[in-house]
Amino acid sequence: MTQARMLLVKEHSNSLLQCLRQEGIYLYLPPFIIRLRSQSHDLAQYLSLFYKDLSFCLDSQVVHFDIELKAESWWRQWLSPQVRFYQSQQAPFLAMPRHHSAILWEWGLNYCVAAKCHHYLTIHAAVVLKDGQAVVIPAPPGSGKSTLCALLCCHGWQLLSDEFALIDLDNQRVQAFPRPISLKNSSIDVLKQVVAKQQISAQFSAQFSGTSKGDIQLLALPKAVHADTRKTYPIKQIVYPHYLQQPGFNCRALSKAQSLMQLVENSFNFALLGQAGFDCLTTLVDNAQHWVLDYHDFNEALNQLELQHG
Amino acid sequence: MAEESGLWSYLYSLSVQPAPISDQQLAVANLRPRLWNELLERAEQAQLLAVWHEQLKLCTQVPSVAQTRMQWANTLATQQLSSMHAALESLQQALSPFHPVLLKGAAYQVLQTDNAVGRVMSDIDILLPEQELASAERALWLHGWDNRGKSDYDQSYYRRWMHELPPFIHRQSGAVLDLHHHWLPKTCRWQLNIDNVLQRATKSPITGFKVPCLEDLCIHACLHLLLSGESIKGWRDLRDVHLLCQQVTDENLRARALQLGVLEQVETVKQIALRSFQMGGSRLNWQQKLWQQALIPTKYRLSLIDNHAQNAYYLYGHYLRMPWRLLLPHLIRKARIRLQQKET
Amino acid sequence: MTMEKQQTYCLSEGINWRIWQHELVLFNPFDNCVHLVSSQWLRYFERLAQEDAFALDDFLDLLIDESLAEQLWQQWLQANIIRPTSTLSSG
Repeated sequence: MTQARMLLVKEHSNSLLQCLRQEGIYLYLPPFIIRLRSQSHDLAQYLSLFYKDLSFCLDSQVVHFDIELKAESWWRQWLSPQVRFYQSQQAPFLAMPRHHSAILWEWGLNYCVAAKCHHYLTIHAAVVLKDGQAVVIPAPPGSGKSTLCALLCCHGWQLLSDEFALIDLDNQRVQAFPRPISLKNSSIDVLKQVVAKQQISAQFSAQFSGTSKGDIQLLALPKAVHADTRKTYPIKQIVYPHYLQQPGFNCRALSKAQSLMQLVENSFNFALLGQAGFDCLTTLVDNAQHWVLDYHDFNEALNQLELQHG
Repeated sequence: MAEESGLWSYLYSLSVQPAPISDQQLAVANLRPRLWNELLERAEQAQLLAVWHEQLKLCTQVPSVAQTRMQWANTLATQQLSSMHAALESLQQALSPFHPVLLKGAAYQVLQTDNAVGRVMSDIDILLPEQELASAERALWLHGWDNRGKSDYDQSYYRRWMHELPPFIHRQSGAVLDLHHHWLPKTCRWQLNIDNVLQRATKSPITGFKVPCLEDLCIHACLHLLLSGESIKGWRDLRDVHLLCQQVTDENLRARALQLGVLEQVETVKQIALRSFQMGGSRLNWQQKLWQQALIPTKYRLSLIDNHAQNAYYLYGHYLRMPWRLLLPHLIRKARIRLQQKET
Repeated sequence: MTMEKQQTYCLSEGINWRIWQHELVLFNPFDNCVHLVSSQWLRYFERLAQEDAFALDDFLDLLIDESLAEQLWQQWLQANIIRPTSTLSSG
């Protein structure tokens, strides 16, 4: 394959919108290559701020996903402009207001990975890294995983992903896939305080109100906090957090068998992978430690995780 | 333009080739990245990506991202096949007092017809004598297959107007079953005697189900193509027709189509298939050309005319299935529902 | 679901497991489902895996010391861990 001319988003933010509006850009978001087209000014601006360290090129590449955010019916543009997410010209979602383009892009991409990516075992989980070893944080509702993940990344941990554990079926290592973290409602203020206190050069998006998941803001952490996307990492711990509304703390070990069942519950594609999925998970749980963590105070949770990781 | 059209014709012909594609054959297509994306997208829309995975398994020059995407599709197809077998086992228990005949995708898999490998199917289609339908429905309810979830309008559409049962969903596995008493809706403008099909069905090798004879499978595929209105799967459906036709002799197929009273329909679809997959055949008339452009276009970016062709194909399918007095209110109602869904 | 006395069953083909202390996780390739059961049932799965076919009576004899034998039969049948060997219709 001929050498493509690689460009950095941050060095071409002025021409990004034009490129997105014409033939699109070929974005390198490891482990994926994505073609993206959009007419939306909001999206172009969002990308230039929140994906500024990414590489892209304008020469066509074979892509994993061909994504377009298209404006809805021309007559609606005057009333309340809407965009719809298309992947390979199929639209999995309803339309959203044009000023929510950034959220539509993030959720749409999540859908593509969850629904289509089957050369990994994919688990709905946050994944963080320290000393070259990963901690997987599966995410049933009420776990507060995104908030926990973001807070950990403000305290010396690195981000692999706040949404997906992409696990190699052959060696059980996890692929880094860092992206802006989606924060809901009250977590937003908590993170803003911590980011200011820890003096981290993070980027917060504008607030997106009235989405189906409530009020959302996206948080982009600095590149130094991202794990290296050219590498995969071994999984040392699997932690099941549960955020307590009242003060309290409890940490207990979970049996390997029970953890395996939980991972299956939280997996997007276990049922598709058959024996290969089961073999991967059994080896994974064999080699990792498994904990349930009930916490209210983040610092207690942090101390516990670092103790177990050490 | 001619070059692009030639390329797509070549790719269509590769998709029906019995032996895996060689590196030399692939090199002839000279697929640059943009064309790979178009091929992968078109194949994905037509549910043929797993077929391409199979066709390209011996090629060493496939870009790694293309390989990955085809691998995804292959994983899905493998699992669907496994789910189908599990569903068939459940259905065998539920339908053991009756005389079910497998149709379409399930029949292809059970018989391992030439078009079966890598073929993706979503629903299981089963044919039963009309007099067994009511009891079979109750038996299915008892075995965890339920078809009462749809809206009142849809129940009405299926039962009263089309004289069909709404699809069944297996509560445990989510598998979907379409139970038929005929190939054609009662309101269809064509008619054939389905008893002919039921009588010639024979027990399949793997399961306890009966399957139609190969000629009947081929004829059903032809009729389905004209009736479905779903142009996006045109490539897959036309490929089914083409490969099934090759598994029977022309004489037997003609004789059977004549016996069933659908010779003209079968001949027309067979001709379109032959021309589309570059195997010769007589020139197409204007209507056949229109169907060909709707189902298996030879350019990537569709013009307004192609969109009209697809719309015409969609409407024609409906027109064949329903008389005007039912069709117009139905289409209006469906359009209104789509608009409402878009608004929310 | 009525079960005729002459109907035979088998352990679902390809079923395999991993054991950790007192817990056993079964994987059934038939439906890609996993089941967490007590490791005390392992000896029965191993025995059943050796048989091509067994009847309900054979199963109950095998589990004769278990008070939950009938219940286990129902559970494992519902879960496709045990499946009928043949339900070919005569039609």
